[in-house]
Amino acid sequence: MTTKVTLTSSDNENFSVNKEITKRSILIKNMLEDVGKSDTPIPLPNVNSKVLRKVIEWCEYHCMDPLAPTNENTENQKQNTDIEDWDQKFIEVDQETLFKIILATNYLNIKPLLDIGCKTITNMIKGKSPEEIYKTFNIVNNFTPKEEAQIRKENKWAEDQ
Amino acid sequence: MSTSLDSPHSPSLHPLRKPSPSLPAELLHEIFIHVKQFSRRDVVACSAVCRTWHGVALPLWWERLTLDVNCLGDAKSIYHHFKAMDQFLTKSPLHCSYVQKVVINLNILSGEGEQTLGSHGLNISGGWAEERTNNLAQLPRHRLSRTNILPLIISILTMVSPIRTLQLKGFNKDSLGADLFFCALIKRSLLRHLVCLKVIDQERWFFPDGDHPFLRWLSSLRHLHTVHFRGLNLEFSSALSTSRTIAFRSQSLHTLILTEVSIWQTIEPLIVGCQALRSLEIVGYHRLSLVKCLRQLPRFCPQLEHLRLVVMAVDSNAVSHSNTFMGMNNIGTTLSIETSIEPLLRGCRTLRTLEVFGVGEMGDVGLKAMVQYGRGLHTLAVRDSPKLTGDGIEAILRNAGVVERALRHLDMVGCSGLRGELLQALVETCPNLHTMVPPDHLKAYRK
Repeated sequence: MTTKVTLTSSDNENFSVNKEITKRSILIKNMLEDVGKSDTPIPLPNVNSKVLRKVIEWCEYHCMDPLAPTNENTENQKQNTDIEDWDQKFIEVDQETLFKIILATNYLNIKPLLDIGCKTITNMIKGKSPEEIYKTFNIVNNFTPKEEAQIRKENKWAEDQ
Repeated sequence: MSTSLDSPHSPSLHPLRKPSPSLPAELLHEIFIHVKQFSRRDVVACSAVCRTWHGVALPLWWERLTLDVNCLGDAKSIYHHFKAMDQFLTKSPLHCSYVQKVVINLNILSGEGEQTLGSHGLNISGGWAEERTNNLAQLPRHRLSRTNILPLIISILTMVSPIRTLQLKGFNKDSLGADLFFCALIKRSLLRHLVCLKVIDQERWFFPDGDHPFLRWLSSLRHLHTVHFRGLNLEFSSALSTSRTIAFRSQSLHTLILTEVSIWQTIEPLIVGCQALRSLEIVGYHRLSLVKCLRQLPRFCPQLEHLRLVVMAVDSNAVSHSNTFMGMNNIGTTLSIETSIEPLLRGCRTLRTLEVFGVGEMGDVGLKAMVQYGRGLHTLAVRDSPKLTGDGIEAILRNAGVVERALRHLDMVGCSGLRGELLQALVETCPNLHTMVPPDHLKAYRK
């Protein structure tokens, strides 16, 4: 028999999730260990229901993955920015949701999903000029002209790097 | 437009609000590390996006400072580039503080490109000028005229110190000014905190004695942890190498990596002064050096934990370089790698990883020694040794009785003569064993 755990999102929606699956999140795993047996729902005030649903979807799909990859593996993961097909589809969301997923996984401490999020952003940055980057992410360039000049100077030293 | 934080626990009322400023610096950092692995140039672009991004990206791309003469054109522009960098860094202590690794690529010093630099050499920093006069007696004037980049490099190094990693490429030891460079490093106690040194060169680095500034400098680094020599022919005068030269002494050196070891290379003088060595990796085709080195390890590196030997297939180039090559490698049984295994394992009791790749002569005698004396081995890898069969090994394993072995990883890829019985015996005596063996043997092992 599988035990269920109830997670409550910031907008007060309850999710009943297989206990083993929630352990993908180191935050929840530690919480469950601290609390012991309890039926009280776990409140997640930093995650709304839309994002939580996505995160649970990911955890359910990846429930068979080994829990703690060896250091060697994490090194390899870092070295390329390839994302598996399923994850790629999973992470095809609007930018706001993407950022919220990243924030949520950071809070919930789900390293592999955080990596996928970071890699997705990385792929959006690759090969772009600063102008293209701030258009992509709708960032306001808040440098003063003086700072701009300083940046031009320091970037000169990047040419041969 | 507002750039205020978009708090994730309140459902967003502004779907068009810019999301990126809401990523905390720690996550931006995480992302930029991914970006950096793909391209440093992209990190530079990130640093010019906005203040937050600049603050996170700048330390990341200034971590490494490259002084590369190759892409700078003629001597004059090289000089001006370095001069400008020197001036920039003088005014930017913050940037200096980010630098942790310096890569110096100085192929030019062995070429003629520096000829025209002479006139610029006069207005350089005072400290170096002193040293130049000190050394004037030993060096002809025309040699000094070629070394005007080095004072600038010294000046830059002074500003970015302490750094942890230094990579020297194309820094021919015998090139003009190299001696001065190392002398200056010693004199000014520069790079005292260096942890990792990598030297890449295709030249011969010949040391007639152990007193060369480069060797003295190496010995002076109290925190040196890793040394990687690639391609350079470190060579010591034969009189010295027979009498056990010590190239340098280091109490701290932990890892020594020698790749593309050529047939001229002498390895022993590099290891005999490094009592604390834990990890040694040698990749090359000079068998004689490898064997001699293996023989010395128990005596000089008793704390060794990881050893990797990769014997390269003989390169036709190498043969043409040396008529004696065949003679040097035709070493018979007294100096074979196989017979060196037993004394090695008897001496280096702390050895946890033993990897021996490409040793054709490695047979059952060697394997027996590994099984019998390598009780503490965690990883054993013997690749591309087709002579191995495993005969007689089962008996040793079974006789050992209940002694549980530490072995976790066994890699015998390319050992086509291996018999399945050995693997079964190993699996019985070594719980949790992971194997990589020729495909035919997998069936036997997995039943």
